[in-house]
Amino acid sequence: MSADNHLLDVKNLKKYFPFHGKVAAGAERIVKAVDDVSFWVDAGETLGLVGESGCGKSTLARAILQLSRPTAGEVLFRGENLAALDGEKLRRARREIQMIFQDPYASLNPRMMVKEIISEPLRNYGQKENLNGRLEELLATVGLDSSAMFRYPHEFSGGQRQRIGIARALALNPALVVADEPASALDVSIQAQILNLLQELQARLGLSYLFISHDLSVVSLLSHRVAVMYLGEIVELGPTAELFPRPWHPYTEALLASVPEPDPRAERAKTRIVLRGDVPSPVNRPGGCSFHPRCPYAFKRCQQEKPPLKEYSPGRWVSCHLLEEPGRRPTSLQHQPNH
Amino acid sequence: MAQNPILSFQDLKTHFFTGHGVAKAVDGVSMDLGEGETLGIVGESGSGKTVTCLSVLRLVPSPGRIVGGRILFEGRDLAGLAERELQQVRGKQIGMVFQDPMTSLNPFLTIGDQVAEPLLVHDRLSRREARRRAAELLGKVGIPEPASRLSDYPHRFSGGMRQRVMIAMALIGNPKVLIADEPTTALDVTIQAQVLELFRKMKEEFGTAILLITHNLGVVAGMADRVAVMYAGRVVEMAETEELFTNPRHPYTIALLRAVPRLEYGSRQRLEPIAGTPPDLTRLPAGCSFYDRCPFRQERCQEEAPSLAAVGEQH
Repeated sequence: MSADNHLLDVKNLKKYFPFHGKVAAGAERIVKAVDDVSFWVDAGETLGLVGESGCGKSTLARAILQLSRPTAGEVLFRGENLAALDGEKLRRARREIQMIFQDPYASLNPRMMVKEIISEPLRNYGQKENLNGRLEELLATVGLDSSAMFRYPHEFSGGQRQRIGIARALALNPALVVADEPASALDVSIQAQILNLLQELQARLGLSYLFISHDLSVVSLLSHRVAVMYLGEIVELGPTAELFPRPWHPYTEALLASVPEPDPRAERAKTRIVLRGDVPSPVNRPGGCSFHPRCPYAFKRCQQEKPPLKEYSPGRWVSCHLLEEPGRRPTSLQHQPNH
Repeated sequence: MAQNPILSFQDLKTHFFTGHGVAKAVDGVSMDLGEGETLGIVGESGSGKTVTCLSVLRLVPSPGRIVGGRILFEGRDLAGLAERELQQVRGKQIGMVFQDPMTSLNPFLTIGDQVAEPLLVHDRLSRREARRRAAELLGKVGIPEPASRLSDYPHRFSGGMRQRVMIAMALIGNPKVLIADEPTTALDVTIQAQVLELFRKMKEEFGTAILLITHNLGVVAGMADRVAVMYAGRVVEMAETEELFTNPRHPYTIALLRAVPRLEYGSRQRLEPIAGTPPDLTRLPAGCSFYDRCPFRQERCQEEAPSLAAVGEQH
């Protein structure tokens, strides 16, 4: 590795699935769930990954962890390509990447005591001594009493279960935690507890997060940088502080405008950009720019030519032809710095 | 309180008789829905918002039972109606949209048959006429080429489209009241925006009064004229929307508004969570249900349950 010492460096990652349903004549029988995605995550950083159902964000997470093997591309973790490893080597290399799942009801084995759940990763990696001490420490880290050890998941509320899942993820001192919608199944008051805990842990343990969520408010709160996915591709990536107030891709713009804000005055004053139609199926992906059938600013070039993801200002990547022809976006909707 | 209540809850109590004791899911709820008004009901899981609206059409599942209070629809007590009379109200005068568009449609019936059903049952229209009206309404809720899609089965529709079908079903009888229980929770944000836009149009065009149940404070802020906040089976605060958001008075409402994540422009601010968890509904405390989690509690709160008092004209 040369100058780019990123903790995680994903390069041209693809994950295709065979498709057995009907396709249009001449179309390929594959679903391109993740198509040529590149990004990196640095140490101590949170990269938010946002997008709607079916955009490929969870598939991407699974492909990074090699839970489903990528079709092509590289997943470099500390410079080592996980996609090229298997067996024991993969297991060793992956030790420092852990995952937190969405559903705290489904992701804990109901027949295992909390003690067994949290110690499983430790035992998997051959750690047998002083387990209890480490477990008490882990429970304390996530704000649970050590008496929790001898209880079963059903005895806990959703928020407490998510804490157990976090303790399990922390057991092996990971460097990178992939959190797939970690707070989406929880009520607002409990969600806030979990989000704060994740932020505290980052500050304390220097963790990096790949934080996957459909909830833009949550992502805006936790992420240093954000990547926006649409139909298996990253359409915009940039620092949260720049991307949220001034989105450059029309999809990001529409996504942000769609978020209902808990502020009646802001809601009344808001310019509504209501997108037409549904997200198309990744099987019949539109030609040219994938977003063009729903884009309010689409013009001829968008139907014919796929825009590449390009860096238009330091750290801000966008794939959209409008950035090359800025006059086409109505000035009323051009975002000012103090939006 | 609303000017001309079309739907009025008076001290409604719906309890669940479980093996672990009586869960007081709804415990003395009083509120009015005015003609053409949108009333938002917000609260977290288990606050009783869904049971409140299920009680209106007597759809509370066993072992739940309405044990007290009245629900007046245009002045008539729905609790006193016979099942047959209630059938006339259900789906005709009061429409309902449920949360989950994936499970609320019958997979064995075509979309056309499901949407047209209320017209066949209540209005005794001919099949042809009912289908024509169904297609017209499906077009209005934004289903492309509605006439050709009447013979499709639900699995051919995406989540957002199914939710629009549900809304068409609820609206086809031209109801005076629409009860929408988390109508956009299962949807993606861009589809949610489409559905909310549709509600706004329906309200303008048909003057439908909407009882909007949601946990999403953003949805309420953009849709409701007034808001009722529920906690542990009770309405703890009720006010005009803007008043509630700018001047919340109940400690729970204040805490909820601070705990909700907002679109931040990279400031990485911390949320203020509410400590603890909601109480067990089978073992509610004698005093205020929020006592254990309240930052402003006093001795009195533990002893007497507070009642809803007016603090201003709109509050």
